[in-house]
Amino acid sequence: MPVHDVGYRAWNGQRIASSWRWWTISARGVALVLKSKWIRRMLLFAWASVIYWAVSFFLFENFIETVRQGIPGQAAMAAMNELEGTPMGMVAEDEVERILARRLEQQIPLLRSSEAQQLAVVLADDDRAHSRRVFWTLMTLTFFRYPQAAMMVFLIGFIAPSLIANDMRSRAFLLYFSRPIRTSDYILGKLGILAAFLIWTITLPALLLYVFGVMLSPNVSVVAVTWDLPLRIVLASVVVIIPTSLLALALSSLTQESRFASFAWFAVWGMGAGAHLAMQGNFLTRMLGSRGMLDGPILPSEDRWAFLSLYECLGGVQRWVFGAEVSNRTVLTSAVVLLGVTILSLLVLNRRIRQAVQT
Amino acid sequence: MEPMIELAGVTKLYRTVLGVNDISLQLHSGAFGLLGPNGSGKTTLINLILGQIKPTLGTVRLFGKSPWKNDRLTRRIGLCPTVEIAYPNVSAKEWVTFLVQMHGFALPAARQAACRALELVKLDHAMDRPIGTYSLGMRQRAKLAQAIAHNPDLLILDEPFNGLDPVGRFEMTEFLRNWVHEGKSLILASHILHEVEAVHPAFLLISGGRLLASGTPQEVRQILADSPSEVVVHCNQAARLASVLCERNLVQKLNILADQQIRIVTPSAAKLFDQLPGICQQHGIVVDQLTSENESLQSLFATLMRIHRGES
Repeated sequence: MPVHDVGYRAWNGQRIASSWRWWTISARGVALVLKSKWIRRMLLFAWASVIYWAVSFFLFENFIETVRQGIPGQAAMAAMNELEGTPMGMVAEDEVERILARRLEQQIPLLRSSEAQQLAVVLADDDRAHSRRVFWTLMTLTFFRYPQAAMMVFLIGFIAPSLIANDMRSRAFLLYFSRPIRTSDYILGKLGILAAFLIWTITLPALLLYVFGVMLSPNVSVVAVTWDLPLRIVLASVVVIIPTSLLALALSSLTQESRFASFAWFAVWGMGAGAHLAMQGNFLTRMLGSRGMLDGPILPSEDRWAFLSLYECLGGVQRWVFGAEVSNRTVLTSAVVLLGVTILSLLVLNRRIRQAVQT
Repeated sequence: MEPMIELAGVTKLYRTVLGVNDISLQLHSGAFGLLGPNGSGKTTLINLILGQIKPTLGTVRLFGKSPWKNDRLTRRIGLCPTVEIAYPNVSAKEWVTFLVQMHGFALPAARQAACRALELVKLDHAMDRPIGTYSLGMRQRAKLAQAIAHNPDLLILDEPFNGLDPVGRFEMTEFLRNWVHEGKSLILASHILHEVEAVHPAFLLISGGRLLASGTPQEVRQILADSPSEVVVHCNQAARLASVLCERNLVQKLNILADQQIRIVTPSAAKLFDQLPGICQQHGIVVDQLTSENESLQSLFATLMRIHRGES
């Protein structure tokens, strides 16, 4: 027997399965990030908007309970009250919708005009279940698209840039890969760190919002109408987490200076949004010019410049996930862009890490 | 007996740059000093042994198996590379525990192993302090702790003496001697000869990606003795000694320096040293000082390169 076999006493304790080695990287990474006070504050702040949004659910549920009371035609009757004795038959249907939309906007501050109009159409039809579904979907989608998306961009912008750039600078790969760790474990481990924070920032608050909404609803039957919303929340979170986290990691792997990665991350969002705004604005202006006047939303679900902005691409796919109105073309374009970002990021990550190990 | 490390015709190319060039060797368990100037291919050779890179040509075997994508083998190796520790706000205990966990240890076992290793490298008193507050020597010891914590069979150290003060160097040398004494294997990469020599390893001399020589320190010194080398002699009759040495055909080149010194380039230092006492006795020459300028690693490699090119 070789001498080195006599000398070596292999570890006899229990080892975790090699397929779970990435978990070690993720868990330690999360613990390390949480050492920052600023990150902890941001994580707490990410949950603050839940309360504000939950109030909207409460207001809406009260609105349909008090105004409509489940009697057919009551919505229209309620709208009629505003018209000071005008006989029912003399009110145009779009006038009822307009009044309902105005009242919704007054009572629920978070509801935007376009959403209030959309909701008023359903309410005027006296379809309580459908109106609830529309409202809950719209509110959850808005929750995803605005406060939580902004929080996501800032949080990842603070956490991700140093995750790989620091390892690149210190050549820590030699330490990682002299252990039973594969490149895929490393990438998955780093992805896990960002995913954990995004789940905390996006998924869990959205799920909590749903729970709050149910609890604040006067009628528990809302669960029967919105039971699939938690599943859609999870799916919409996956749509956000995978491409954005991989993009952030890929940017981090391209440099040894985390500030450059940070700059690139914010530039991707800022420049994308700017380019989209410019092109979409130009498109709308041309449409207005050809029509002479704007008599309604021009193709509200159509966004032919969505591919310019990662934010709009996420929005396109999320709208589809939540079952909101969106054109197939927008969804397809957005999905292709997100898939492209994911694949490209993975290729960059893989190449950069292998290069770093082999030089 | 199966060799611990076996390289057969291994060449590694980084595009058009040659990392290592046609290296063949067999190393059984023991201590080895991998010596070479900066950029000679030491780290490439280490990475090939670890299986972190794949040879362009040839085969590498570690403990009888190919190390390329072989997770099980990495458990038997401890690597202390020349990297900085990138986490200044983490304590050595946390950092070593994390790296031990990567070997598959559960958290309590990893923590225990980390504490034991930090104790071995005499860093237990500061293991809860953030690494950012450590001196260079303490960081070096923390790096050593992560390499030994999982009780590897083969310890590979890349420039472990960098940044250590004399006390730190002594402690590191003592630790490595004990490691070898316990029957474990060691590869110690360095470009400073005397640091490696203190651990009493066998030498692997690498330069320009080629393995120029290998063997015990005595064998390496014999190579030096048998090859052209430069000697400076300080004596009371420099001119007389120069004349005698030329008569006996012991010099290739000779310079008489001021203050009774002569610089001799001899084809064989061994032959010169063998005959010098007799010459001195015969001609009444008193030698005050005799120094060989070929003690540095650089000149050793220059000599070996000359041998390699067939110039000797």
